Amino acid sequence: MQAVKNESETVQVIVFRLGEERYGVDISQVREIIRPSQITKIPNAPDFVEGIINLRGQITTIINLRKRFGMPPKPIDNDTRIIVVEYNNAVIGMMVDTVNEVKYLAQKDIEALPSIVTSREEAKFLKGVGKLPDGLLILIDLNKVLNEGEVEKLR
Amino acid sequence: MSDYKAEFLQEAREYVELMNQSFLRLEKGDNSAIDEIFRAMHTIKGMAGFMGYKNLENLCHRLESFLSELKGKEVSEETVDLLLLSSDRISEILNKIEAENSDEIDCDDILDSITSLEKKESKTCEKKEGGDSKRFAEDANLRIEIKISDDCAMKGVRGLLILEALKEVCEIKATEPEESKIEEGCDLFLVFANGDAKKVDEVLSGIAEIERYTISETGISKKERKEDKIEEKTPEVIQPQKKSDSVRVDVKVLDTIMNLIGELVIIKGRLLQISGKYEIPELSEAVSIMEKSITSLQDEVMKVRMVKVERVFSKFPRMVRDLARKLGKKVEFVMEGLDTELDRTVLDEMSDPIMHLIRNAVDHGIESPEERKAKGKSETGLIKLSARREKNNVVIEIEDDGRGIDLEKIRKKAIERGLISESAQLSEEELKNLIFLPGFSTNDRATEISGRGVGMDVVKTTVERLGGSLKLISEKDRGTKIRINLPPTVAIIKSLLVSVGGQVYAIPLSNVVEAVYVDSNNAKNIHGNLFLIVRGKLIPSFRLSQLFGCENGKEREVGIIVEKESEKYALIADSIIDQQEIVVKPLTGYLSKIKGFSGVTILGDGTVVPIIDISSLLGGDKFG
Repeated sequence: MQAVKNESETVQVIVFRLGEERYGVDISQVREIIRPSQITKIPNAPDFVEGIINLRGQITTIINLRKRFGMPPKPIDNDTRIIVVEYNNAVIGMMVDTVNEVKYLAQKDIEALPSIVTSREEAKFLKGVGKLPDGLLILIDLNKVLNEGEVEKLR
Repeated sequence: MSDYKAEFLQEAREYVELMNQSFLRLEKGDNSAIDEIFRAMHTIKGMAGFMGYKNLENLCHRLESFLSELKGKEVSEETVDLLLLSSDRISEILNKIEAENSDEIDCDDILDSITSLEKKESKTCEKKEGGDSKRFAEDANLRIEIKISDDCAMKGVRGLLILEALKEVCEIKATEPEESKIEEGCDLFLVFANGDAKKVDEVLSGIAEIERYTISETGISKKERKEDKIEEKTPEVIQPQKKSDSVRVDVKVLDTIMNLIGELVIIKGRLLQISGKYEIPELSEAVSIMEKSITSLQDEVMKVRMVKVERVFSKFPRMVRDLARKLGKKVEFVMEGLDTELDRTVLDEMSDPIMHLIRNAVDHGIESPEERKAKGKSETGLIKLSARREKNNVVIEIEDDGRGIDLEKIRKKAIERGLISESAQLSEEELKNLIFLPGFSTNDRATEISGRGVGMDVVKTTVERLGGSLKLISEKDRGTKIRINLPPTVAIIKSLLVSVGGQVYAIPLSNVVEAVYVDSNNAKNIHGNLFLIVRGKLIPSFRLSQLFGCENGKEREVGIIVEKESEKYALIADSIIDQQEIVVKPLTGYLSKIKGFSGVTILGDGTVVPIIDISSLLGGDKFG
């Protein structure tokens, strides 16, 4: 863990992995992290929708982030986790390869991505890159991953 | 005061609605409607006075006295028009009160018309004497309304006894109906008497088998009497206080209760499963008792949610009348089955589509009187709106005897709009269905009536979203009939659970006709399309595993015959698992527009099961 000097200038991020890449999301966007339970597939759903689960009585749509980011799919294993976020009053789960840890990141260590990257439609959810002693961390805005307009285009 | 405002507005609007209905009855010559309108007007006046809306009170007051003059007279069309105009004005005032808390809308035109009409009426016909009771009532200071309870065995005798008892404490001037009628047995009557209200009250409270009674004093100052005659006939107490056993409940509260019950039903299923697994006698017993209570609770709440179609239908006669006038058409509008009950949500959702269909019928369906005459039909067109219960469904029909649908016109339009190719060979049925496509309208001119933004496609989508179906029957120059089939409720439905490729799906039982085993004898491939032969009939079939893109490893499949728009189709599943009541949960976000599913449900063991929506699953892009 990095030393925290000024609370207001640090963000707490949950670090997860998709393939070889490390990603981080702001902890305030995350409601909980669960292991995948029985997922019901919905035929004809957009490709990246893994299915739906019953999360304590609430129907929750599960999105496969690998597919959403255009990566090759990977079968569910013991490390697979679902990051549950609340978005527009709907609860949505994001399936990732594994969730590693929670990190503190100082604002000065976050670098915005060049506009040539973020202006691309499929990279809108990229918030920046966090520099950690042990490497780089791609920060994403989960709310932008869930942009409904994009979904319409995808279908 | 603002607390009362919402209530005032709601109630006043209800009364305006009531008046609108009565006006139309009045127009047809039903004179008893006057009393209803009068009462409604009086109540609005009273409420407006209480709330301090002087302008509204004034208007109502003027109308009220005008109405009292109309009692027992022929009512001219002109008068009804004026009354309708006034009720519209009252609505306008109410809207203004809601928006700006002010009732300042100019009503002088109406007041003037009333005065001129009154003059005209008094010239043409002599003012009739009011009923006997009313004349006597002028001398009485008490107005007593008595309702004998329904279970009273001898109402006539009881009525006489009451009158006798009253005679001891006061002087009876008149009764309504007459004393002889009361003797014959009548459970609600009015007594006009002179005496002390307290004593009367004491006497009446001591008599058995009176359900309720109200005593009102009719004393009126002489000054007011001079100004207008109506006050003296109306008691000071605005209305006999109706004893009401009902309370108003916000729809949102009902919805919340319904959701909670939905959760309970799910948990019930879960507990049943657990108790079945562990076989503990005490647990099984407790669970089965709980099951019963939850089931009856569910039934009760469903009942509460049911409302009569009248609630929505009642606004249509006025609309048809106004529309027909505007278009210079003669239309008789008939409604049937107003008692039919439908889930509140379903009914509310259907309100606009039905309105659109009726507008269509008046605007496009019914011809002008001249055209009808030329065709040898009666000048007055007929539009019938009916609702009835049929098996598990509620059927709503909108029927007119107008010009029917011109298939050639539809065809041309569809080609023009690029919906079909010029060479396309379509059956009559297919042509008719074209009007349900988005962006289709056979109307050449954009009228005010059809320019409402609700198209036939919206009507169809709404019906299908609610789990219903829609059928169009039309014959040239004979008329058009649109039949809408709706499930009475949407929240909890009976369903068939089937397995496809190892996953469970639910099919609403209302769609299912029957189920048959599939083998090489009855499943035939004809030109690449699968058909099932059931009792000699070919039924187009679809393998769910193919539609859903999963594998089917079963040797013996089941064909579930479903009905969609009166056509039969077979859905082939791996096996049937169970028949169950399920709670429909809508799909949200990404999945809300998915074709083929109307929602999902949670089974007792916690698994999530998609609910198949037959119409959108098979609806496909038939013409696309």
